[in-house]
Amino acid sequence: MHPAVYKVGLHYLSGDISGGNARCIAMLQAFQEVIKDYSTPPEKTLSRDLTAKISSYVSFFTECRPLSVSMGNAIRFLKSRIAKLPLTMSESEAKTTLQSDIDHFINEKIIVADKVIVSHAVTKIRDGDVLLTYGSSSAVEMILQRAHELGKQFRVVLVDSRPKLEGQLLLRRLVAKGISCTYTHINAISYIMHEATRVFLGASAVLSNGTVYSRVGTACVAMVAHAFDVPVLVCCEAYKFHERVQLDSICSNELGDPHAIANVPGREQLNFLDGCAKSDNLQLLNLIYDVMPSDYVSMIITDYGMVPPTSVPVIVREYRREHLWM
Amino acid sequence: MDFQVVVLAGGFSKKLVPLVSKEVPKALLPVANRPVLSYVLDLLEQSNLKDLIVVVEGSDAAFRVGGWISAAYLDRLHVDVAPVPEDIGTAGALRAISHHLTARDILVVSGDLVSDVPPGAVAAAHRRHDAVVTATLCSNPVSGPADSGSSGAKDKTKKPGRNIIGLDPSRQFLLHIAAGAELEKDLRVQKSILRAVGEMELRADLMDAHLYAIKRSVLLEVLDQKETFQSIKKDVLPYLVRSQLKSEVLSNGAPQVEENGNDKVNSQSKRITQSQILANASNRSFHELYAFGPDGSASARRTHKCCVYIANNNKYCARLNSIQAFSDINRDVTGEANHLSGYSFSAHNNLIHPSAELGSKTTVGPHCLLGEGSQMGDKCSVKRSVIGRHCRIGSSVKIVNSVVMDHVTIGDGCSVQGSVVCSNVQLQERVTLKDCQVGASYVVTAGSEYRGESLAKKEK
Repeated sequence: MHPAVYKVGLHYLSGDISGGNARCIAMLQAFQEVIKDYSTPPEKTLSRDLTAKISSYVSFFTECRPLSVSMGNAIRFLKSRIAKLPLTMSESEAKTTLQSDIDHFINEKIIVADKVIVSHAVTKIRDGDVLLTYGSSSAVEMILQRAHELGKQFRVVLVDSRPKLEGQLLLRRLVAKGISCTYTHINAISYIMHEATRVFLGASAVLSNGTVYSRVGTACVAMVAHAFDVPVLVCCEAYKFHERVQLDSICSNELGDPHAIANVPGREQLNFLDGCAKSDNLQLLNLIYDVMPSDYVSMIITDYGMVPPTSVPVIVREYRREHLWM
Repeated sequence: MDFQVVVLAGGFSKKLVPLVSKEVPKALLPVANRPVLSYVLDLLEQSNLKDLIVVVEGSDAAFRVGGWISAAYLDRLHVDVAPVPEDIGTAGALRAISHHLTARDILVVSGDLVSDVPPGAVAAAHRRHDAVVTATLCSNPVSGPADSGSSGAKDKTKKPGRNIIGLDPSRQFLLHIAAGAELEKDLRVQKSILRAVGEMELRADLMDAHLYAIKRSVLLEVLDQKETFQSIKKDVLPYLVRSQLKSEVLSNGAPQVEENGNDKVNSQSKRITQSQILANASNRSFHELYAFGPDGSASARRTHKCCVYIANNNKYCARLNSIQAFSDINRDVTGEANHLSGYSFSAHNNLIHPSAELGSKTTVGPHCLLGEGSQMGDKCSVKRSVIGRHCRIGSSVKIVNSVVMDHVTIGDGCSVQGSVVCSNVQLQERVTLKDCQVGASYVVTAGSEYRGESLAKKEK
């Protein structure tokens, strides 16, 4: 077990790192360390042995926390690059090639993709807009910061929800930049929606039928926005697209810690669910993700442009091949 | 897993006289008929840490310990026994073997620890935060009736092992540690640490288990720079905890940027974006927040983290550092913590070796251990005691709450209560011992009565 992999796995397990892009970058950096310290054992080929090693680390990561779609796609990319290495290449050359491939992947698929998304999205922000966002998405944060740098006059409504309260960190960073923000919880979404002119949401993955797989609560925000006729723009890098299809949130999801729902931090007197774990016929369900049908999404902003949700299977089909033969 | 283990097995502790002697260094003192060092080695073997360095003070003791280890652990562990000069303290011992240390992190274990705290969990806590040092804390063990013997009266005011520990609200980081003599003076807390964290929890009910995970580069740097540091617990650990926000030992913090010529600007901004995404997504500890300054810009403050692992209440953890502790640990290992002893106890909750002979009408109560080859006479009664191997015990002997080591001869009509009798001792008839310690190879004359005394052969 490589120490870098172990450390990143512990971060996942404890929740120190969360968010699709951050988890993917952390995992790829750990794999770069692994490749740097790797040496082929005798009688074995580099590609097969290294692939086996990476698979064992991936199962370790899955034990710590189930893989996100972004991580899964990155692993598929890495394995295909390892398999494509010519047998005549020496070990040190192969290692440097793989490391630079990982660097390119991070750069093109995440960093530059984010820049492209930001440049598309700021064209959709006009002066006087009230932008609503939910939770903490790295892409949406970059959009808001860039729009503020360009001098656009807008204000932000940040909707947050228990148990993770991820929006609070984003709120601090936005307020530190000087953006005027309103902070509320998801129970008040229908009260605040009439003020919003646009809704920007992030995604963990976008599936082939146009459904958006994102943090629990996002679907609720999108539905209310749709009811109020507010356009919903989902910002997602193209490497998070996946060819599977999902119709509801229950068939494939991740379970969080049930006690996190029962405790309200800071208000110990609200302990009605104490001792619930001992009861046989009560199970606390803490779902991490939910699924937003494509009817609620007005547009998906990706690094391939601003597309309607129905174009997602086209992008997956056409550009996946190019990506694999890169 | 890139951890190297150093076991500090001590030498001849003065606190444990007369139990320790030239033949029996502290590491080989028997607890439940097994040398105390075997508990640490078994724990490490179970956690799959097989490359060890055992440090012993005094070449004589090192020779004996090395001999025992190679006999008992021949193929199971790979152990290097390193002798160091006497009385140089734990930090001094590490300084002496510093050239043997190669791994990235060092796990320092005290050889007199009897515990089932998993070292793997301590290592995980250490790695998770990339800490410089991780200490293991556990709740104070319940100690038996205080020794009313000579040693007890003198230090009634000092309870051994009392610490004052300051923890952050999430109980992961160590903010303050004070132990021993410093407890008498006022408590001094670093204001910068308190201001950075906001809230500190002070606890006096935790005991230091002397199982530390330390980063090797930091350890070597501290030992080099601070020549006067003798003890890890009293000097090195408080120094690292005090200086955690004004670190002079590490160069961490600002990410290194490669000097790459024309691409320098581009790669720099790429790395900054990358690290921004990672930083924004992760929970920051108060160290990072402090290092980055109040306005969010990266300032030159360097910090290092001192983590702590608090063992669960159901884990047993005790250190053999006094005679009282010796009796307590023996009692616990045959009693509540008998999973540690590795033996399986019979239905009567005691362990009598198959080759031991008991006379008629002899009773052996629960929580007792009878070693192999021991013979007991008639009408004896043994309660809550440990009896070693090849002992010859006469008739009508009462042994209560005591530890009797190997090859002891006890005459008829003796009564041993709350005492420790070392190897090769001869107790003649009708001797009464209460709360005493009898050193090795001593002969107690018939009919004598001792209360709370320490009997040992005069060294020539």
